[in-house]
Amino acid sequence: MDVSRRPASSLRRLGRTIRTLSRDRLFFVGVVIVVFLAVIGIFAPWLTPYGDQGAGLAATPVPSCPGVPTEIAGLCPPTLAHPFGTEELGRDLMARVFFGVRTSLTIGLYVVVLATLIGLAVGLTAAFFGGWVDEILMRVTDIFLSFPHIVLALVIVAIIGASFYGVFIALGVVWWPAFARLARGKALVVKTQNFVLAAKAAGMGNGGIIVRHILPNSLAPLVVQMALDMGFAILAEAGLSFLGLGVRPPTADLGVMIFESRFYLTTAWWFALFPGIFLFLLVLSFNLIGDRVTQYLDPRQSGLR
Amino acid sequence: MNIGAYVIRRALLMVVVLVGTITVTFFLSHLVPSNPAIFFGGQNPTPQEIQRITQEYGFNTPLYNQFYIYLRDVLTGNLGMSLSFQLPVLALILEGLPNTLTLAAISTAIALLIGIPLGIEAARHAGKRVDSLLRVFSVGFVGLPQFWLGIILQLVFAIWWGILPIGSYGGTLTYLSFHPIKTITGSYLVDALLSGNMGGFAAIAESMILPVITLSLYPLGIIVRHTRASMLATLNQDYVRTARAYGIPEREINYGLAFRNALPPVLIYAGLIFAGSIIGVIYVEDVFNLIPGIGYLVIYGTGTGISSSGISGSVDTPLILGVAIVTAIIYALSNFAVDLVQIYYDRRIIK
Repeated sequence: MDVSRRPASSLRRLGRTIRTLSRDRLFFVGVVIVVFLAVIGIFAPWLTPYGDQGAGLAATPVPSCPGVPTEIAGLCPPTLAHPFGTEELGRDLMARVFFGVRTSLTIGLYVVVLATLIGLAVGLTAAFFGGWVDEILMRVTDIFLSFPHIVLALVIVAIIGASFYGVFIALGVVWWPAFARLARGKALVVKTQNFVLAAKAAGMGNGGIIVRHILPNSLAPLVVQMALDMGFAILAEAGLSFLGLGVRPPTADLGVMIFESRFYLTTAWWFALFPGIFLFLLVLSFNLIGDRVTQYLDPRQSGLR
Repeated sequence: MNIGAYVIRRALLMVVVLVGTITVTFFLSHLVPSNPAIFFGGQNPTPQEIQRITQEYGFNTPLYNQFYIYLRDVLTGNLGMSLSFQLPVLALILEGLPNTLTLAAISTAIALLIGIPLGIEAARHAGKRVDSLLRVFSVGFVGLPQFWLGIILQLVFAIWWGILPIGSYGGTLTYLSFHPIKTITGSYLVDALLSGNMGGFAAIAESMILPVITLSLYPLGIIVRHTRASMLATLNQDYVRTARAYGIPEREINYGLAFRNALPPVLIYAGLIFAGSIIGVIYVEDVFNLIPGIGYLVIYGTGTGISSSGISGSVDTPLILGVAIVTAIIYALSNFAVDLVQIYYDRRIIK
């Protein structure tokens, strides 16, 4: 039996799924928006002349805008030089939003990767050893699932402190149960297949079997779940930052910007509008992709939580 | 297995999950910080305070004893004293909870009332234009950040059009101080109605229009999707085809026969959505400056709600942990209620 070919066949199935999906209009829209936002996030430093701190407070004098009261002079409505206007400290809002997208994508990615790693470790261990190990690990997973994500993350951030890493660790730690269940379910199937039994008969150790055979063959559904969860992770991060429990100023963050915009709502509509639109596009595009993928994989279930 | 035994088993499972939840909060609060006494004492506790807290929580005793004290306290309803309010955490939560639950219940109900018919329509026209349109809207609703949506609704309806109040808690409170309501359930809206204070009821209801819209769009999207999926599954069943062959009107098949069988899976989500909207209420109470509930406590408890200066205020740990435990209890109870509803609809699941 050619053991090494198993992961390839699993990947080929994923490739076929992607080809079918590429003909789906909504999926296509989702991918286009994600690519657009990824380009903005990655190339933010080169896309705007202002830098993440809007060229700094001292470098550019606070712009004076005709017709805007002096006490909010930092806030300028959109002009050609500042397409999204400027925010409370006179920084270019477009630059801030672009760097905010960068922060969102970074944390979103970190969160799902951390959640996948924890989930894989728990799920594969549970599936491979079975018995009481499985029982205990899965009950712990149930307990974590019975908690609303944000509330648990809130508790963790309150303990370890609000920061970029605080919010990333808190969300990663609460996000793994779904991944653990997926990995366990898939690994339970893989475990009984002949090539695993053959490896066992050939004297391969437990660790080797998990890493060489069960892990690569359990990855495909997890990759789908990661794409699905990116949107929700980004939303959760922005929510925590909005509550003051996530990324702290002066780092550009969409949730923080939306929080700050509330104090100027009556005069500066652009300050609330643009960060929110980009946050919405981030969540929407990942949800669109996730929705179409799940619809294709299991037409009876549409994967919105 | 009979129904009684099944219900008892589910109830026991709920208790196990709750004890597990308390264990998790225990480990988070007692093991992670370097000195839990300082952690529970707020930002700058005096040595006497640290001494008192160490005694109270038994931090100088073995871990199993600390856990015993913690478990005993939580089970007897002693969630500690809030640092910022200087009041028992449980009393604060019980005072805020009715208002939060009212908001969650109204928005869940509205999402169900609108979402289920829309989901049925989407299933009836699966693959057609109506279906695609509803899908785009429901995915869009699910992706809307609630804290941002609330702000934008305020911008449009209160600031630009001026047809609804922007943050009407103050106004409502002034009105209520002249026309007091009796405290019956603790929910301002329900109490105003029960005590016949129609002016107060109208004022509170008006202040809740935008929050309810903000809260119900997300569950609406989810319910449309799940109703559609569930309906599609039933519409493909043999008995539906048989009913069609017998010439039963399409309307009756959709809303009577198929719907009755498609409903239980949707109701599972209704329970989860009700519990989940507690999170949304946290944002919404903050954004709309509503009658204080759980959300108000969280904003206060994190000590960061007001300042954006980057300096973290003092975190009200007992309060935050208390809210987490109460939220987990609401989740567990909702799940239990969903189990009961499922048995009512389908006895087969108890086997």
